Amino acid sequence: MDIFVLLLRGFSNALSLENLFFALVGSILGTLVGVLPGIGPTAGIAMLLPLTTLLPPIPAIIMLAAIYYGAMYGGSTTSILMNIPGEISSVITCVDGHEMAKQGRAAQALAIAAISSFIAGTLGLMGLTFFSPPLADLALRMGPPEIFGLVVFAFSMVASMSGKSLLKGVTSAALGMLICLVGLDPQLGADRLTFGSVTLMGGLDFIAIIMGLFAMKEVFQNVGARVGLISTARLGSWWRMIKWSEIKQSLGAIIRSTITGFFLGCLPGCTPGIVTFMAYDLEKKFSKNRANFGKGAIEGVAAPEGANNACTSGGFVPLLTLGIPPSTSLAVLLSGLMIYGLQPGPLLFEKQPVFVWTVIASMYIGNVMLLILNLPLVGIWARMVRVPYHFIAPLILLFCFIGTYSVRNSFFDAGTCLVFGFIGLFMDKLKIPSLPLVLALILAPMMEDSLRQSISMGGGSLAILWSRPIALALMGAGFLTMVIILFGRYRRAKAEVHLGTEEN
Amino acid sequence: MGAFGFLCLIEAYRIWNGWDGTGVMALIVGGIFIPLSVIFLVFPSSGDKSILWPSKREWFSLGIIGGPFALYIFFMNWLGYPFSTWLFLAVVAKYISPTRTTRIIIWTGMVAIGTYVVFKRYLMMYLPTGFLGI
Repeated sequence: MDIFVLLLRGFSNALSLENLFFALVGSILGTLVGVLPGIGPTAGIAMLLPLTTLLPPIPAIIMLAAIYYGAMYGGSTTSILMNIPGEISSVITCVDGHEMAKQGRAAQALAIAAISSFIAGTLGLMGLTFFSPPLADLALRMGPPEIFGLVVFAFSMVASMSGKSLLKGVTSAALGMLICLVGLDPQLGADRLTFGSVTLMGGLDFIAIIMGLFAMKEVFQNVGARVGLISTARLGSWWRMIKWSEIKQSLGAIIRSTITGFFLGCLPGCTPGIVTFMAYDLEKKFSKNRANFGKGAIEGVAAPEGANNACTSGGFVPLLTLGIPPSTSLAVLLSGLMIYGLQPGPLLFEKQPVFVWTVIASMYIGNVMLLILNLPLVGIWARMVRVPYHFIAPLILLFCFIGTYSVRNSFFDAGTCLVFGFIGLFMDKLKIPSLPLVLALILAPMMEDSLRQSISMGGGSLAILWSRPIALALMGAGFLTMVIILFGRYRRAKAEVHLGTEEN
Repeated sequence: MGAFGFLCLIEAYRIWNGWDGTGVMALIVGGIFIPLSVIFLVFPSSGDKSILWPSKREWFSLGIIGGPFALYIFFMNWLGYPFSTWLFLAVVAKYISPTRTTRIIIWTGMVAIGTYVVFKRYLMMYLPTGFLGI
């Protein structure tokens, strides 16, 4: 049957009063979960999953999907306003988003995050609607060597995230890789760098590290500098939160990040964390406004937020067509599907067309609902930057505790957050960028898994990595990117020296 | 940095069980740290004038925030979430806020109870109960 007819049928089901109600409830709950620091989409869906078991399958899955989307939308709020990345995918939003908030442009940052999320989410859903089968086929072709190639390509971003000193960037990334070594080996269970400690066997929690490096460090810096307000700039009227010219300026970034986010989101193992970093890096290279990245560029918020939401839609491709959840939050969603006896996979579209198309249609509706819900709230959230910092700082510290403790109910994680707050501060003083460290935290486990699996596949030989064309092309692209960036740095340095000599 | 490198190499040797085994990543990380340490040794950045170490006041701020935070997580099991949170917030707020003590006590108490209700009662999060049993 024609996809359009199936989708229209899905819309006619999804637009029933009952389904609309549950999509709305899911969107609101998801946004609240996203706004609360430390409770990411995974924990949010897991906590609210029991609630949905009281409902029939279609409204239940509609509600769960809406919670997932809502949490993705809401996650950017604390990143922009308080520099608290509640989950991995919001880390990069902090960079320009919080800078914008400091400049009194919090409303613009929040509004562009919502608009970008809406456009990318909707375009991503179109991709899911019309290109699911070929994309699922592509996803199946991505074996461990190809994933390793992708990781090598992603590691080339360290060069552009290193700031002035490439060496310091590489040091930061190496520290991130070192942190990932701590704990039990994910495949064989052997302990590494635990020094006999049982607590260390669980490894160092990612959320604790990023909250320490960003939120805790920010409090240390601001309290030390006796900051009175996050932003002293005058806030405009809330209804004039964003200008059309700013949306137009970000449109290119949104489209590019949607394409990046959606296609990478289709690949199993490619989490929103990596995708947001890649989209940001890509934008940094292609944007006309690239000089302002890291200093409050609006495209620096639009790109990661768009990629995050497009990746969310892309993630549904392997989930629905192959039954492979590409991220932990979608794995929890998969368990929700399985509670109702629905088995995602190639036959789901044939055996349960009503279910699949109603859920897809409800996602379109959910996206519109989220935009309508979020845009009016932007002005209210933005006022938060005018709350005196002596009220905000203790709250950030409290959210750091709750956010880190709640992941594993571990005081050790809260302590880790504190320690990384200090580390973050000293890295800042030593001009060592923290983004490569975060990037390595995301990539190193993937790198290890894919490398070891590839070597096993190749019978103990590394030759498999360059005998597969996609893997080779990705690694080559990574190498080429690195060379281009290094050459650019060399030329800039040479020009600066030349300029200095002429001035003298 | 060299120490990190050697630590990783020693760990790689200890757990080595083939190229597709546990030690390969430790070997890679060690292999990155050792050349890095050599480069930093040859080209030291100690002369970097742009590095600004924390001032006395910043050190004091680090202590006044880091210290109570460490005590907060250490004693929470005994004191329970609402009480320890209230104490922690009040101590930090007292140092950084120009507001009167009574007002600090009231708003920090409200935050402690409010977050307790949201996270423990509504979101069913596990939070330590302490001697108060709540």
